[in-house]
Amino acid sequence: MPEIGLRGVTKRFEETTAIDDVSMTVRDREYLCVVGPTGSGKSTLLRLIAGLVRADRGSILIDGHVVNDVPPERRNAALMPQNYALFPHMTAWQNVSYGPASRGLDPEFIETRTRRLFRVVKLQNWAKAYPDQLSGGMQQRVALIRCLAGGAKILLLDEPLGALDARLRLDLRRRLKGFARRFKLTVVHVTHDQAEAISLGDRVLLLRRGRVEQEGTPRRLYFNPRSIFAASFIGERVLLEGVTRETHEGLARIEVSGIGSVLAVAKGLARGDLAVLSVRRESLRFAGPSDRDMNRMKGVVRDIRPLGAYFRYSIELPRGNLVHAHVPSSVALESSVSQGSEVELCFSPRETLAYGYPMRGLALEVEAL
Amino acid sequence: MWSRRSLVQWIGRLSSNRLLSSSVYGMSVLYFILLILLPAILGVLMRLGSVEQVLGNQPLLSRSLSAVASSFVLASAVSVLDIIAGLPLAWVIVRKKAKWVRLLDALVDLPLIVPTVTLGFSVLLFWSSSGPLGYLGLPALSPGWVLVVLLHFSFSYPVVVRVLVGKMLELNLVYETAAKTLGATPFTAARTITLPLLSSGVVASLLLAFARSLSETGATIMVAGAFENGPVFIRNSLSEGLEGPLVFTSLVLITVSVAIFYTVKALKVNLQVPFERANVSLERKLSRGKVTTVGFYVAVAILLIFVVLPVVSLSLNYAPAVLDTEIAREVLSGSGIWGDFWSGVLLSYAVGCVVTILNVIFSIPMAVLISRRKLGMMSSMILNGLVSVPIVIPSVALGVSMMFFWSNVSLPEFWLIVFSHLSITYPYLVESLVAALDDIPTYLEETARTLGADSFRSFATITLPLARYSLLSGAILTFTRSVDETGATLAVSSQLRTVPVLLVDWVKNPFPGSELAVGIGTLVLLLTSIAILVVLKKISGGERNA
Repeated sequence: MPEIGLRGVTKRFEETTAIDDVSMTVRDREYLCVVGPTGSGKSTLLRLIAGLVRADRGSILIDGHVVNDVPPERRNAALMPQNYALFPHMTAWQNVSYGPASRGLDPEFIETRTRRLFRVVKLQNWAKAYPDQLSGGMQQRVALIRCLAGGAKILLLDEPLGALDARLRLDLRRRLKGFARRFKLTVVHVTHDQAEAISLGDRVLLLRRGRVEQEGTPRRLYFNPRSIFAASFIGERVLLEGVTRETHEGLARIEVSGIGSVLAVAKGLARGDLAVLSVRRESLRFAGPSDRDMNRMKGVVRDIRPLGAYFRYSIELPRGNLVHAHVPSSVALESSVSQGSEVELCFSPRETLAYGYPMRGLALEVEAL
Repeated sequence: MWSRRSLVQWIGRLSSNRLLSSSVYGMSVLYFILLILLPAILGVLMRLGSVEQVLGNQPLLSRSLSAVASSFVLASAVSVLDIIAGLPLAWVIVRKKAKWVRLLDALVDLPLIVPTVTLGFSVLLFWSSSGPLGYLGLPALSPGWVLVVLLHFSFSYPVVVRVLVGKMLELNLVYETAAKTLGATPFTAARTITLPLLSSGVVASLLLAFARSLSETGATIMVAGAFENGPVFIRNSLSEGLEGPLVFTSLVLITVSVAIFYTVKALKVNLQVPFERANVSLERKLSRGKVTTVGFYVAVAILLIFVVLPVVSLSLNYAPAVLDTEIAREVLSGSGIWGDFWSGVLLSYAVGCVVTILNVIFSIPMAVLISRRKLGMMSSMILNGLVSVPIVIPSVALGVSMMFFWSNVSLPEFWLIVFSHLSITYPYLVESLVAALDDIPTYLEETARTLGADSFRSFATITLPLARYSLLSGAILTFTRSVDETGATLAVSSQLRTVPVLLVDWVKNPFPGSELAVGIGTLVLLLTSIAILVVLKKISGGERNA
């Protein structure tokens, strides 16, 4: 039952605190995605679990045992770094059988297991190739089965899809998940790509400056971001600034200059507070006659881009700021709105989230760090 | 197979013992400090009292000071000449695609293979009246400072070109291309973009040539005549049996060269020429095909005339003698002087082997300590700086220091020679290993750890195999440097004579037939050195290049 736990773990590197009092649990066979901007401590978190760096404070548990003093080779947690770290001087076969051979397992057993793993990823014919003779996708598969050959049940993936081109990335996302299920793995998958985290993780953990900003199911992170940072990091949002006029039962009426009065879901806002509103781009739509009880804003269409399932409309508001609305392609194709049209957008108060205005300013707050 | 596996696992179990692994690192540091570093410096300081002999003697003082000054003037002049002639040649080798460039590339390596005494005798012969100059009826050059300059140029020039070629290959052409698309002529682009980017390489090769020139002793003695630089003066004082001048001169050489070396390193000299002051029309002219072509041919001509031809001429001169069965039989029989010769060869190679093995064993943990910053950033940097001290110290001064340091312990002469060679060659191995380890990403070893390999196994199966080419080339360099070494060997030995020392002796104290003997001896030395390199290349080749 490979289960991972962190209890108040802190890791400092000279001046900077990479991981700051983090507690978390990864349950058996869970696929956890850790997401966060560059420098948020994602890789350090992975290296702490792998045993490559030692925690300054707190304890790390695997299967309920404290492993702070257990060296990496005895933790049974295999790491796959971003560039895969395939050993360049060994063939694919030697790479994969490296783990079990290091553990001193029986050669016949190693042979059978390695062969089976190569069959699983359909690379039987490439076993004798050296890493530099393999394509990026093949290298990734070899790196994956190499992690499993030694019997590890914990898989630590550091940006596993980062080095691949966009098309391959989408394809391998699906395979990665199937792979984890098939081998009953507990996975910690680190990425800076929120879409990857949302589409892969059973649970998602958002890190920021070494602290857990929010954790939960993808659905929760997507629809109920706890902070303006989480809101701007997960999904694509429209952010508007305003002043709180009144609050009532978790709802607030906020005055936004150039737009007017907007109703939003709010917690901890009081009358007179400066607020930031967050609306998902796909929650914006063109207002029709039947749209009552909706927030509304007017603007001029400056640009229209077809982006697959949706069209992106760039709309200039009266105060000159630009917002983007994602409109389903089926709707957009029927629409008569064109560049230069004046449009009215509407969005539901339930999908409008209000947060207190961040102390150091909005731009700094939503900037990656 | 089974036994090898269990051996590795046994060592692995030992290596997870922290005490044991730290004692291995500790031993390697002790080895460095007690055997390599301290004897090289302390020996001279222990005899500081005898300096009074020199300070109180005005003629001796001025003679030794002028010898030291000659050393530094010579080294500076030679290294600057190396750079001036080396940059165009390196440029040709890196940028021209023609087939003859590959031949050129191989020719540059030639003096790296030729033992320095062979080179010394070649230079002596080539410019003498019995060489091609005499043939053409031109005035010959007699032994003296001009020949010393030519000799030092010939052995340091290839080193400089090698370093520059390496650095140029690392350069990204993108910057130069970008400069050209922005309107820079090829010459301007080279001066404002490539040269500044190369500056660290230029400084490194300058220092290397400088140190080599300061150190060279044996071949210099051959061609020096009445000219005295530091090493020649020390050698003369040795034969005169004076201790004061030895200590004084060595001390000054050590102090000044260490000071110069570390000042240059600390200053990180920037070679960029301000581009505002560019003379556009001049540079446009310089960029024309003809001008650059002429420049390249001059560089190639310099290589041929000053470096390649002397060696070729020596070989042609004595090849008939070596091939003559009568003479060959006499040489191989080992009778008379040839007995001395062969025991010298044996001694040289025995010392070379012992030195290489010891240094390989102890430099690996040291390189790991430095490269992986096992002792923290600061101490790693300090260690790294200290490691190159023996390269900087002129080898004859190092030998003098060694001799005094070990004089209280009655060490057999063989070991004195070994110790001095250990010190001289140690930096080459450590530095090439550190450079190799720095290039091997740590994540490879880390990943191996998470796959189940303990720290020793991950080092032995991942890092060491990836560094094996650097280890091998470092070992070859160590071996050839040891066999080639004369300065320190002269200083520490009175009975035993390694083969280069013997040949220098023959040149300085001629006897009937000695010129032929030296010619044959140097040629035999050249052939064995080529043979050894070929064998080593065979051993290291054939494997997949990682």
